[in-house]
Amino acid sequence: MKRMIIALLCLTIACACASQKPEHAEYINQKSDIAEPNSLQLTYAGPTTLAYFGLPNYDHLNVDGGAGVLYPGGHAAVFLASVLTHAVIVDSAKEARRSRIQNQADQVLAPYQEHIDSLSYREMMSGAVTKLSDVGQRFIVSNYYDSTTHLEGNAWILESNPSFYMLQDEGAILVQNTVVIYSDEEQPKIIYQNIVEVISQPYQGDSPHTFWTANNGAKLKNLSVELLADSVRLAMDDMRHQFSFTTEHDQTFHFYQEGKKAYERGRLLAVEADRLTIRTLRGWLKSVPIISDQNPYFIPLEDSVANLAAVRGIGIYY
Amino acid sequence: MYILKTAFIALSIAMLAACAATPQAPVSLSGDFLGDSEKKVGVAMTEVPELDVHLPGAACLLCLAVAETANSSLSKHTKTLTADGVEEIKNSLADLMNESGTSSIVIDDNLDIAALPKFSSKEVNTTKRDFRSLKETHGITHLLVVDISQIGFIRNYANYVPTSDPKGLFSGESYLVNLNNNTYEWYRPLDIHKSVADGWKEPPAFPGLTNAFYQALETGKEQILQPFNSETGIAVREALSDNSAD
Repeated sequence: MKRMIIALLCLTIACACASQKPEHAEYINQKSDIAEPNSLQLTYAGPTTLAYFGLPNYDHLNVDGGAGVLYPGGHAAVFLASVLTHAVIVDSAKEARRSRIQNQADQVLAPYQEHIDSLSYREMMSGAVTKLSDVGQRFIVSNYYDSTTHLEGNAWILESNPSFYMLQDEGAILVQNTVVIYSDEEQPKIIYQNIVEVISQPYQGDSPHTFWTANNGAKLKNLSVELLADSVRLAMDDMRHQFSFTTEHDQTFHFYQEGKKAYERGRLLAVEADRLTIRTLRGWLKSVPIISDQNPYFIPLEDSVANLAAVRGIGIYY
Repeated sequence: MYILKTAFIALSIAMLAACAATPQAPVSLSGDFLGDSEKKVGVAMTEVPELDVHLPGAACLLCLAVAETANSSLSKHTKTLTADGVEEIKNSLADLMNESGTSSIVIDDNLDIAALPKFSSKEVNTTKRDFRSLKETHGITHLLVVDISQIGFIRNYANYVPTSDPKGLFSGESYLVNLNNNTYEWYRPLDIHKSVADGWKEPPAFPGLTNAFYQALETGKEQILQPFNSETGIAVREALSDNSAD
């Protein structure tokens, strides 16, 4: 019995130790007391093939773990080993299932693969820079590993690692851009780091394929570039502390994604003509399209955003 | 002896068949229900359960102890969350009903379904409890029930081993009962799970999972309210048509 208790204790500790943080960028903003240079080197560290995926849904990811499995008893070590073996098998099945879900989600890209394959990071970044003239910075695009491009003075480096996702109804594209801005010194200091997500306005026509592939995929390419530029612009605005919370507490915001209501918990940072910018609970920035909603249980904000909310028909749940 | 054996097997099969309860299939709300001024609907809720981390599949006591210990930081965080707006669902339902032209009242007291007499019928889509006494008590023709059974997070287990990541959870059922005959005029099972796509292990605040919980909560509220919101479908279509991807 004593051995069994020790084995269970080990098992519990093993499970607890498995609770590590996920590997995504944490929100950092140390810009406040540092003067901004006039130039930014926009770099991309990723591979030459653009990261383009179908948006997966893991809501029903659950594996049959063998609920009726019997563990050999007799010795605590044997029991512990058999439970850990079971855990390894289940974890492996979970990863395989997860991978299968992503592969299935990627099927949505099949009709567009030819156009996606023609996109490159350099082309995307160069395109985005042309749309960022309002940011007040001179951007120079370079590959992170390209040592031939160097700026004079104390230029900062903006490292952008975007992943693009097409939604499963083929109606919209989403970019999730990990942005890191750091000083170009011998020991670079991270000035800003965050993940910025921007979702495009939904296409509501009958033929998304025709829409995206017309003019040799011009719409797919241009929208991807616009989303990338928007994500960099939002990151710059955030770094410069140009956002302030318009609400005092977290709220659940709703918007439409894949023809259904989708939700995000966070705080409202900005309301534009056709979109909301939210600080998510992780500190990320999320820009979502908004549409009019006549839902009777919609509650407009009571503070300074109230009039805008009423005009734009933004539904916000408390 | 042979007859005895056959009778025993037949009896066992009959008992097993009787025990296997068939889950109630969803029932759509009739298009002409809303706006019918002859009907009067009482809207009631069962007691909303506390937010919790549910660990189905951790079947034995030791399995459950291990699973609860492994998820203790999430359990602790769950206590800090609130189910925003859940108590207001019945008011929202009554408002929607009244706006459609069907009279409704909110029944303030929590409904204790287990305290109602059992009811059985050979007819399809009938309730398992007898709600008819509420017709006289509240002066209503129909009862709209929101019965939330579990809210918080769910993580499936196979004995000691988790077979899923934790997910936001909102489960239960919502239904509309005709108090003349205990038949469902609308029935919607609720079993909403919302996952975190990019990693959930973020103690102590669990922002990804917290977001998933509120996603499940709002999805559940939407699924309960949507059939009684006669404008939603039209409004959404009209709104979407005003927005092109351009």
